[in-house]
Amino acid sequence: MLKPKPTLVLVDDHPIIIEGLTKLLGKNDRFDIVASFTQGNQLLAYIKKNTVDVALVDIILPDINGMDLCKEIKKIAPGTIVIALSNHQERSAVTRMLENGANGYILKNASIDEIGNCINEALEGKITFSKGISDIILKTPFKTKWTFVKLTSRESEILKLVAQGLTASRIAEKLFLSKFTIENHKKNLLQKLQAKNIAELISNASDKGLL
Amino acid sequence: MPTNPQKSEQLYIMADKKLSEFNSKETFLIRAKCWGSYANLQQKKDNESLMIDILINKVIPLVKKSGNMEYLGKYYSDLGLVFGNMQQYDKAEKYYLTAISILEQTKLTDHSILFLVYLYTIKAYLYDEKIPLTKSILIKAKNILPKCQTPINNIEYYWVAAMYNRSIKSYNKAIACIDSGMQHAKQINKPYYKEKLNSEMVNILTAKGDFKKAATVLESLIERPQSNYSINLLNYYKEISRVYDTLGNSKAAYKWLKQYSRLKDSLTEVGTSTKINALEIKFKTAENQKKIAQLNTANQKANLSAKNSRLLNWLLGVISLLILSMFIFGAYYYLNQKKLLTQKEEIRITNAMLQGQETERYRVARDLHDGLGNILAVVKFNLWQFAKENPAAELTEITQQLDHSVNELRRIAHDMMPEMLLNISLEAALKDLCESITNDKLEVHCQFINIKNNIPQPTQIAIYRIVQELLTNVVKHANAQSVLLQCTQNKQIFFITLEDDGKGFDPEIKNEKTGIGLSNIKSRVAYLNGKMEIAQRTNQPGTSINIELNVKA
Repeated sequence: MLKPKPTLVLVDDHPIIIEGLTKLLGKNDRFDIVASFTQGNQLLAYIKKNTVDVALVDIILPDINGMDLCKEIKKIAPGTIVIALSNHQERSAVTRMLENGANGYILKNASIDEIGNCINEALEGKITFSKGISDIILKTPFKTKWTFVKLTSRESEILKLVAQGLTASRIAEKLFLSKFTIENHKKNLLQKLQAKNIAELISNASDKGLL
Repeated sequence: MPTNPQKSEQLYIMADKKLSEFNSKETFLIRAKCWGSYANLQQKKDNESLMIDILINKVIPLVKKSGNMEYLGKYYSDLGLVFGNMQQYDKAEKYYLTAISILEQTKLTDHSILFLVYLYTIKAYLYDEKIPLTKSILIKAKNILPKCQTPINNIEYYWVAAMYNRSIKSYNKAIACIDSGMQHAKQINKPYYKEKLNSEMVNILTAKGDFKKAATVLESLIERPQSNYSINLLNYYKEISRVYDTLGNSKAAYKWLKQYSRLKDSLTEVGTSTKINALEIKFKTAENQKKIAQLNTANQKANLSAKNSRLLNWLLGVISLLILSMFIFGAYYYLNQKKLLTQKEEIRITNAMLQGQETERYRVARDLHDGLGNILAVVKFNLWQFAKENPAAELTEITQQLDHSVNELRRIAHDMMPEMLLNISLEAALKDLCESITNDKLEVHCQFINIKNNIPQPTQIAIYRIVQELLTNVVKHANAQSVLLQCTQNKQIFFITLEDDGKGFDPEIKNEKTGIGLSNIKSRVAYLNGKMEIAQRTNQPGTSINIELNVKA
């Protein structure tokens, strides 16, 4: 018995995209485009009644953003494959989509073949990205080692004064800052150096050679 | 005679006043003498009643206190003299007798006083026609005379004795007395006494009826007047005229009467003219005083008006000064207020502009992304499809160019509006921003602590713009290899710290090239009631920028 073709829906608030994709993707015989919507809520309403295998969603929609939409879809139909199709290539958008359960992220500058391939990969159960997105993901996000604590000049200044035993008020006086600002810096220092109190802060700081 | 009686009066009173502080007998006597002299001055002014008053109430009580009986007698006799002059002989006699009784019981240094009082008393009795009382006193006077032998006293005695003898009509005795007096008068060269004696001689001769001799004496008196008193001469003229009349010598009587009337006329004239002169002087003085008063009044008026005008000037000056200062203050206040309003207006306009800018950016970014971006995406799909069906090298190139355009569009749109800030979070957008500027040459350290998602969107956008502008500056100008961006939030305060290891903030560049960027930052910091501080990093190259913002959720 022939396995039924996977169903696919499109969500994009621009009819021209829907039209183009329907026309070009329609030529692909691996799946059927069963519906297309210009608003996210229309899709959610549809999904509640129909089984959809793949949903191609834009990130920016008039009523709900693609990331939230993805989360909703996964709540209603966890089996539905959600792939973002967007003009946005920011890492935050990609990350958030993946966090919300998306199976892939395609940039709109991809070719139709690429889009088709991505959909296929996703149907095979893979996490899929168009080339532009995989480039971004592979790029080391900032040359930052997150475990390494980097103190600002002001923070090291305050840390030294704290180590000398000065109170927040005295430090504020000395640096011509408000007491509140000093307290904030102290709080940040505690957090950065994973210390519960000033004693631990000084001990950790000297361990790391910051004093 | 004092040249200035008024001055003397004042001095006497002053002396009395000063001496009244002492209580010795000597001072009482001196005070009594002062008052006595003062009283004498009153007599010269014909103010006898005042003199009597002073003698009774001042002099005599003071002398009594001093205990000097000699002076007490003297002043009683003075008192008697005053009454005598006023022809009140009863009173005069009473005081004389008091004086006598005092002086007779006193051991006297000078018996003249008592002697003279005797004579005064006799004269008073004679004038009062109490002749029988006279004799005993005259004997007393005669008895005391040897104790005070002076020519004048002798003359006085004989003169009074002559008067007494004339009164009792023993004329020869009276003439003898006059002769004795004349003997003494010759010893001193005082014409007054001779005249006095001669005058009495005339009285005696007239009383005796020996008019011829009286006429002779009178004529000698007239021919050789012993004193300058015209009034005496007048009496002599009158008397001689009467004598000749009695003698029946009408011609001589008429002659002397004419002399009399002529002298009297001239005297009256002198008196009248003196009076007129006095009146004139008085009148002139009054006139002058009137004039002086008028001048004084005029002066006072002038002074007053000058004072008034001065006062008015001052008042006007002060008022105009007040108005001027009020005007200046008003102008100052107005300008200040205007300036303040302008500043407020500027801030408002800046904020409105920032808001408008954001709105416009958002609109354009959306249009670019969704409108143009999508259209280009479809164009790309179609072109790609076409190229697939009709392969051509040119088409591949065109496709790449189109890709490029779309990327550029995406970058522009993203710069204009961080879509992820709206859709995900400020932190996500800031991370994207950091990533977008990271490259091989520049490493970016990005630290976010405690950033809440409840910050209002316009505030989030402002924060994003500040960071965006700061990072742009670093990329463009700092020539840095490493940037540290730290954003932390504590309640309502948002802290941004940006540090780079670049060449530092050149103040000139700060002013010129990055001027617009920095002023944009400042506007936004002001919009969020924040503070910004730009400083060189301590002990290492680069700049450290600390910003504090108020973000109300």
